[in-house]
Amino acid sequence: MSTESPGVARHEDKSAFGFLIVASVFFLISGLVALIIAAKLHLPTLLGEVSWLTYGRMRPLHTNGMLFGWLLAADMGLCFYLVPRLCGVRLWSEKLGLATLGLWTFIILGAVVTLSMGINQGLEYAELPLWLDVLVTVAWVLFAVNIFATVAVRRYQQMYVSLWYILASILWTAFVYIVGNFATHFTSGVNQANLNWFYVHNAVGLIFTPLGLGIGYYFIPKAAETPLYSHRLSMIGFWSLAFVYVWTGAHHMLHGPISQWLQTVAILFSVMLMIPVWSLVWNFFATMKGQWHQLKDNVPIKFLMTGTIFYLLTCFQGPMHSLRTVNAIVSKTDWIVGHAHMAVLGAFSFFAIGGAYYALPRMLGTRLHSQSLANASFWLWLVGGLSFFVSLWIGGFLQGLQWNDATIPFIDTVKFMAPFWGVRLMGGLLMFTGILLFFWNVLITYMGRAERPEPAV
Amino acid sequence: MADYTWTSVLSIYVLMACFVVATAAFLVRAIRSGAVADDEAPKFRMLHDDEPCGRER
Repeated sequence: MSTESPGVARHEDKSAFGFLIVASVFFLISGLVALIIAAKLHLPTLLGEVSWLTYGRMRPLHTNGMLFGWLLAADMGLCFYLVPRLCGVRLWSEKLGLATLGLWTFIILGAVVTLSMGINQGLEYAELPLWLDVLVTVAWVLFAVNIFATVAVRRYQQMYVSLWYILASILWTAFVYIVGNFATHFTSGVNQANLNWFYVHNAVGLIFTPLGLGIGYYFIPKAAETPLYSHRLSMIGFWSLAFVYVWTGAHHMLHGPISQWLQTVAILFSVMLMIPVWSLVWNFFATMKGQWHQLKDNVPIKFLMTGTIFYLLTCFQGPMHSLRTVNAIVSKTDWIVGHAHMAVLGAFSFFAIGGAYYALPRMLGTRLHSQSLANASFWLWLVGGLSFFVSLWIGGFLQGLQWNDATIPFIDTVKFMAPFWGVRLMGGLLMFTGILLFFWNVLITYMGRAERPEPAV
Repeated sequence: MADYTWTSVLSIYVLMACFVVATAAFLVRAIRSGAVADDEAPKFRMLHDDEPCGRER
């Protein structure tokens, strides 16, 4: 979309831009659905008894919308932006990228229709009907072909760490998605649950984590205009994540009917996650040494470094509540809901938004419409997110203690959570306002791009 | 408690072991090809990757 000079190839970024716009639209819609279902925890009769507006229909719509409509689409768009740049060549095929975008949009719209109609496979994060699963696989293959073909013709032999993460996540996503959405049909009972939790945990761990980290590794040095602290350390983090993450899913079934040794393996590898996590956080913080003053005015850096802190907190929580004693309290409570939201909305969405705020104006050859709006969206997300996550941690922990006391009726533990869910709703409202500002800023930046040309370097 | 492990092991843990073996194979190949040599050059090069990307293909 940038202007081209005769004889010089520039990045077109059509696919990257398209994915980010589509992702922003689904971000808005999924955020609205999230607000409604959060309100339904207080007002179960809200929106009456229309079947497609019930909690059971809207909840999978929200989770799938946020995961695949917003975050994965945004990550794919940012991959289309950064991979050609890191390879020093244009994207292998913009036409293929746009075809992938068309198919992806069709899939998400198909998900909205089928889930609203109650067509649901009944497995967490794997609710989509089989024909949509097949289309997701096809779309992912198209995306993979474009990225791998771009990397294959790169100008530099040695790849920057973001490329390692993105290439690996493409392979891991295929593996995880096929196991979670197809292999589960050949099992039942506890074995199906084991496969499903492998998929649910690794949907975050082997899809959104490597994509998010690849994006962070690219945009933090770029936005701060300073080199990464250590490329070698980043590679240690990458390979340790590759060896460790796949084993951790069974920690969702601690104290369940799977063998003790499988639970122990999951706990052991969950604790070992500290290695890739700390290497990354150390690298990001050391990169920012002497650059922290940029937090004052640099909106992408605000999002990216706050995302790093949320990532650290998430990945400190994860190993801790995979320990049997802690898990006995927090498992299945609202603590886990707070933890999952901090990973997807706190860490990886902050990375994606930071990357989008950096990349979108550059794709359009313009400046962002409003730094003030971007700044306001950051504070709304930070305050809203913190109140959302912290209220659920506190409420969830106390809820778990109550569940361990057999003398307390279950319904009393539900009533006990009402004030915490109220804070969650208010936090969600702030975050949704932040999404609105983000969307508005992107829209006006696009519409007024000719009026604000990018200053010459 | 009954042990329901065996099909899980067959269906997923063997796959996971294959996954790790494949990762190890990639790592060995990457080391041999020099792709992960101790080189900090990529982190400096990426700071200037907004330049035009060579000739039209």
